[in-house]
Amino acid sequence: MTEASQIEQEKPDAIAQHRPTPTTALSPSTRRRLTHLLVAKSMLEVLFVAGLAVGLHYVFFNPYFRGWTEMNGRQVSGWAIREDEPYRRVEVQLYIDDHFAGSQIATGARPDVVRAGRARDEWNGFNFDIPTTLARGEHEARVYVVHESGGGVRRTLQQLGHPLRFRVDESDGEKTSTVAPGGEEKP
Amino acid sequence: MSFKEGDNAPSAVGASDAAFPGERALAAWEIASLTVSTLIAEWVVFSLGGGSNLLLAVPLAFAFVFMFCSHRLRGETARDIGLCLDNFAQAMRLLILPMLVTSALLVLVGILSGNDLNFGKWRGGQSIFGVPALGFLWGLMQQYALQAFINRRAQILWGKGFRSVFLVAFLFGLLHFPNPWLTAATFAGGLLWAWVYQRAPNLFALALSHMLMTWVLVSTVPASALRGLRVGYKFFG
Repeated sequence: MTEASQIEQEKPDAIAQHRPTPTTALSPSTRRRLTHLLVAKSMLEVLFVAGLAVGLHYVFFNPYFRGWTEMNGRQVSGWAIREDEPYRRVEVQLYIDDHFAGSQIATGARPDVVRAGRARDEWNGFNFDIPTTLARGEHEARVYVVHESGGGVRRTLQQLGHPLRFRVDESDGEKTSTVAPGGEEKP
Repeated sequence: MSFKEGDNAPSAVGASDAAFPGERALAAWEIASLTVSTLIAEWVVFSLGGGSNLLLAVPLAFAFVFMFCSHRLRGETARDIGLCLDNFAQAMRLLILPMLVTSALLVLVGILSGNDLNFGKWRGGQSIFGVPALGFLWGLMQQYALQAFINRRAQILWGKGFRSVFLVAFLFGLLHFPNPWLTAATFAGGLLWAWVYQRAPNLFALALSHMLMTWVLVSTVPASALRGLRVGYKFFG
């Protein structure tokens, strides 16, 4: 005799009062209500997860950054602003061939951006010198704006404009570059 | 305390009623729904929400409101699901021997792994004696979802026995993935607790057992193996 059956023999009334296995068949209306409950819960969960994903994407990747990048001789230059906080300066980082090549706050004078109506003041330009240590050949430069969230716990990079492809030729000890830029935000 | 509503009175079955899932399909759906809520809390909220307690409360609230409504619709009382004391001693009698054997094995594991056995510690070095109520309530909450809901719905699916017990243990282990020690421990614990619940449904006894076994686990198994009892996405953080 098993221990469980011993217990059941000792206290049959107590065991019988429990309905450990729900055996009562559900009425059609109860089945319908339970189904509606399950569907409603599923929909709420889908909405919650979708809302969470969209909301946190908004927090992590601020949608208000605007700017432009271009090759300017041996420099990568451009401008960057935050439309929601137009007087707040934006940090930008340069990556060449996916390697970090420099960082600065975009505070250079760009009166042309103000004239084009893209910024409230002109202090949003940047200029990066292309490193002299780059090997000859094709390279790719990308500029990213830096966005902090979570009180500085998270930092995300968002690409500004398009990647800039350029070539470094070593002639007469001088490096030169040729460019094939692109973009949509040029003032 | 009663969840009773139990609108189970027979009624005419219309064509639209026949379109709704059968009882076993509904039970399976209920189990899946609760599992999904928990997985959302463990994986989605922790990965996207950075472990915000407020966000974490949302899927848990969905789950508990849903379980409560399900009890009402099915006409289950608190006594039915094991929130009672009359069979507490019976459940403890079923639990005590496996608990002693498991505790002995865990102590052996602790000794063999060179771990400094310390039964006065809790997570983060906090004294277990300072948080028995919390440990008990935490165990009660988990056992309620696991047994009073999943186990009972599993019994609708497959009746009492190995298959329903295994399903409960499998889901309990799954919800502690990817923590290897906790997954194994909760699978084993799930087998025991589900088996006991099917014989003597008493959530207080199971919660007490849950609390005690957690205490033994954290006191014997090296902390580096348990990884702070973290599960889901938080395990990696």
